[in-house]
This record gives sequence, structure tokens and C-alpha cells, in this order.
Amino acid sequence: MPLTGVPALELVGGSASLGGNPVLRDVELALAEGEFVVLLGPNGSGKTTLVRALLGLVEMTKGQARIFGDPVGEFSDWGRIGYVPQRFSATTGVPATVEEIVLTGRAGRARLFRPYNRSDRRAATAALESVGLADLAGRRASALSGGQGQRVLIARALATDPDVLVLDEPLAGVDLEHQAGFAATLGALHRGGRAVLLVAHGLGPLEELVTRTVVLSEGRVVHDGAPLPGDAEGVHAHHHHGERPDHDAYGPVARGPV
Amino acid sequence: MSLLEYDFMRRALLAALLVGVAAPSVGVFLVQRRLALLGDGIGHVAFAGVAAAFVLGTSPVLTALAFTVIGAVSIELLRERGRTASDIALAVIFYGGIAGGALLTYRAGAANNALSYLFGSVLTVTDADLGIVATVTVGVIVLTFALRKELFAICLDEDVARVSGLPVRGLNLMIALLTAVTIAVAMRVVGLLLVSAMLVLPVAAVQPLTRSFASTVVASICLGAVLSVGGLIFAFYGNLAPGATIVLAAIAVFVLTSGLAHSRLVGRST
Repeated sequence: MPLTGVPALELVGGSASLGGNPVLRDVELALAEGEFVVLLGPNGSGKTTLVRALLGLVEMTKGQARIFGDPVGEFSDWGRIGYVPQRFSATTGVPATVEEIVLTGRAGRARLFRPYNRSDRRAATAALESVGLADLAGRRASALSGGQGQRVLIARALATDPDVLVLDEPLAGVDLEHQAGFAATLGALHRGGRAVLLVAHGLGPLEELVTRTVVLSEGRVVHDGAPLPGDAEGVHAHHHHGERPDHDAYGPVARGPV
Repeated sequence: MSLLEYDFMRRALLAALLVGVAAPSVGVFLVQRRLALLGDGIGHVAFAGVAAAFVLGTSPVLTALAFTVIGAVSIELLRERGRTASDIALAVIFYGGIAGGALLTYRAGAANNALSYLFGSVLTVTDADLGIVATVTVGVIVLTFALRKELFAICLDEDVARVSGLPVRGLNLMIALLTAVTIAVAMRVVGLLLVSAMLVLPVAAVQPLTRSFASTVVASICLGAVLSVGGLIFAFYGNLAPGATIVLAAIAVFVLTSGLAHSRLVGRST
């Protein structure tokens, strides 16, 4: 991966509103290649909107999003970006296997009107291996635990071997034990040279991976710099070390062994 | 088979088979998006099209086709705009279709004729109708097959599909169009009030027993074909309404497979 000095993701003076309410106010944010940035902030501070704006999923009232230097509307090399949205389940109304879901990560890169080919399938298998789920490829996705489902979503984002990984609260509903496994996976991906932008409620076992922390409050960046665990502690509510797993209020409870 | 000696029955069986295959091919994407009732709404719009045809003296199927396409595209554009108000906007379009249809039907003095479109009249399918049904259904089957990986991806997660580089907007419009044309032709077989059932029930009936998306598609198409042809034959010998027979048979299969899956689940105890 060439280091060009151009930020992988960049938001310049980004403002956005949802239903007339300002959610982002003049946000400046850049993610350089190879960085590991955590985006913290209380509920409703605009973290998800910020991430969606960076990826061109939210229309901004002001400002511009750029991916590898191109305005997001003109960017076309989407295989370089892997996105894990905030979801509580990998499934929808119709049954689907784990492999079918992971393959959709390559839908934009595979040829139109053609089925997935052998290299698509190989890439999906490799992505599943990197999250430790290779033996579940043929499993019905709705039969997975919360932690496994979350890893399927990460595997889908990895299916194009991206340079940048954007994850929106991937730990919601994943208990502490599995959070450690997740941190190990993410650490390996980062060491492999990927830039990571992670939206989180708290750092937990991710703390040692982070190279920079950005804190959002009421749609504004209020901290952007060295990881300050003390700071982070003050911003998000709390995280438990010890007997009780940290469940978000709305996340599905992970059940069974992963 | 004595039944094939009748021209009208040959046409009816062919129309039922084509619709039986095409409807679940599109319906599976509606079910995946949890938009199972969208077909019903577009059916309401088709009624306005049929009624307009009575007044204008044009072909009911073709006029309904034009109306459903316009209706489905407007619904898709509304859905794209924002989710909060789209609920009400949909209701306005749906009931506007029925009310407008009723108004035009009475105006044309064609209330009796309208009934055959509301409940289906597969036995009166003409050669011209069959030509339209065949063209549309074959087109729908080919397109849903060719675009299956793209359509599956956008129905699974629209945001991720966009970030993977798919032309999500065009594909969303494609789903809307496929739904619209399928409904306009399926109404000849089961009627506008039951048309959505042909899209959704075969999918709902097989999915308790399937594991993958691919097997759900194949199984629902097979079931759709068997139900519509079988239901039509059964209705012919039993002197029953074909559309209603087909839909009730689909519901019977749905109850059966759901019960089967449930007893399996209970057996395993979750």
C-alpha cells in the first residue's frame, strides 16, 4: 500500500442536519493511511452521522467529504473501503448463509450480470478465516450468536481486502470476553497496514490499539489528538471490568459460545 | 388430458405458469426488504389503471401496466427521500388508486367488468393478453436472474451496497419497476386484491425450511409454479374461483411449513 500523504478519509467543514436539527457542525476530520482512530462521544453526539457523511451516505448541508483525495461523489475505487454499519443482526427477511452475506461485500466489484466467480469465493473464505468463522460459511446466518453475527459483518467489510476499515459501534451487544477476541482481530488487521476508523461507546480492550482519539459532542469535535483514556472515561458512560458483560441498552444479548 | 382440449384452458395454464414463476422471483426481494405489502399497494394503483382503460377504451392490462410503473417509481422516490413521511405518502397513493379506480369504473358503467379484475379471470385470457403476460414475465425472470447478486446485496443492506460501489439508486428503481410490471400481469391470474399473495406467499411458505438465499429463490419459484398450475386445474374440476383457490393453497402450504419448522424448533428446544 503506497503512503501518499493524502488522507484516506477526510471531512472538510462538514455540517449536516437530520429532520431540520443540526447533527454535525463544521466538522474537520482526517484519517491518514495506517492510522487507528477511535471516535467517541455520548449518544446523539453525531458519531454515526459523521461516519455516514465521510462515506457519502448522508447529504451534507455544508462542506465536503473526500476519499483518497477525491470528492466522495467522484470516488470509484470502493474496494479500498470496508464498512461495518451499526447493525444488530446480519440477517433480513429471507434466509441467507454466512457466505452469501460476506460475498455481498464484493457485489460492487464483481461484474454486473455475472455470478460471483472463484476469486470472489476465495476472497470471502479468506475474510471469514481472518475473523475465525471459516467453518461456519454454510451456516444460516440467523442461527448465529450476536458476537458471531458481528464478525460476519466485519468479514463482509474485509471481502475486498480494503485499505480502510470503518466500523460503527461493532461492539454493541458483544460481551467483554468476545470484545477481547475482537480487539485481537482488529489489531491484526491494523498491523497488516489498514487504516481503521472505529466508532465506540468506550474503549475497553481496544485501548492499546488506538493511535488517536476524536471526541464528538453535540455535533462538534471537542478533542482530536493523543488517546486520553481518562478523557474517554469522562465522555462515555462507563465500561465494566469484571464480572458483568457490558451490554448496550439496545444491543441483542450475545448467547452461547462463539 | 381433456383439459388441454380447450383453447381458453391452454392459455390460462400458460399464463398461470408464467406468473407462478415470475411472481416469487420478484417477491423474494420484497420479503427480504420487509416490504411484503408493497405489492398490495401497487395493486391498488393498478385498479385505477384498469378503470382508466374502461373510460378510455384502451387495453386494461397495458393501461394498468403504465399506472403501476408510474406508481411504483413515485413510491420508490418517496421512500428514498426520507422514511418518516413516506408512510403517509404511501397511504395517499394506495387509497388514491382505489378511490380513483372506483370513481372511473362507475363513470364508465363497468362495475361488473371491474370485478373480474379485482378477483382475477384467468379463463378469459385472450391471445393478446397472453402475449403481454409472456413478454413481461420472461423479461422479469431474465432480469431478476441476471441481477440476482446485485439485488440481493441492496436488499440486504443498502448502505453497505452503496459503499461497495453498486449503483443503488438504479437498482432500487429496477426493483420498483419489476414489482410494478409483475403485478400488472399477475392480476389477470389471481386478481388485483390477491396479486400480492402470489409474490409473497410462495417465499414465505418455503423459507422456514430453507437455509440459503439461493435455495429460497429456487424453492419459492418451484412452489409458485406448482401452486398456480395445480390450483388452476383443481379450480377447473371443482368449479371454483381460480385466483382464490391458488392463494388459499399457498396459505395452506405456508401453515404446513411454518408448523413443521416450529415443531422442529420445539423439538430442539431453544
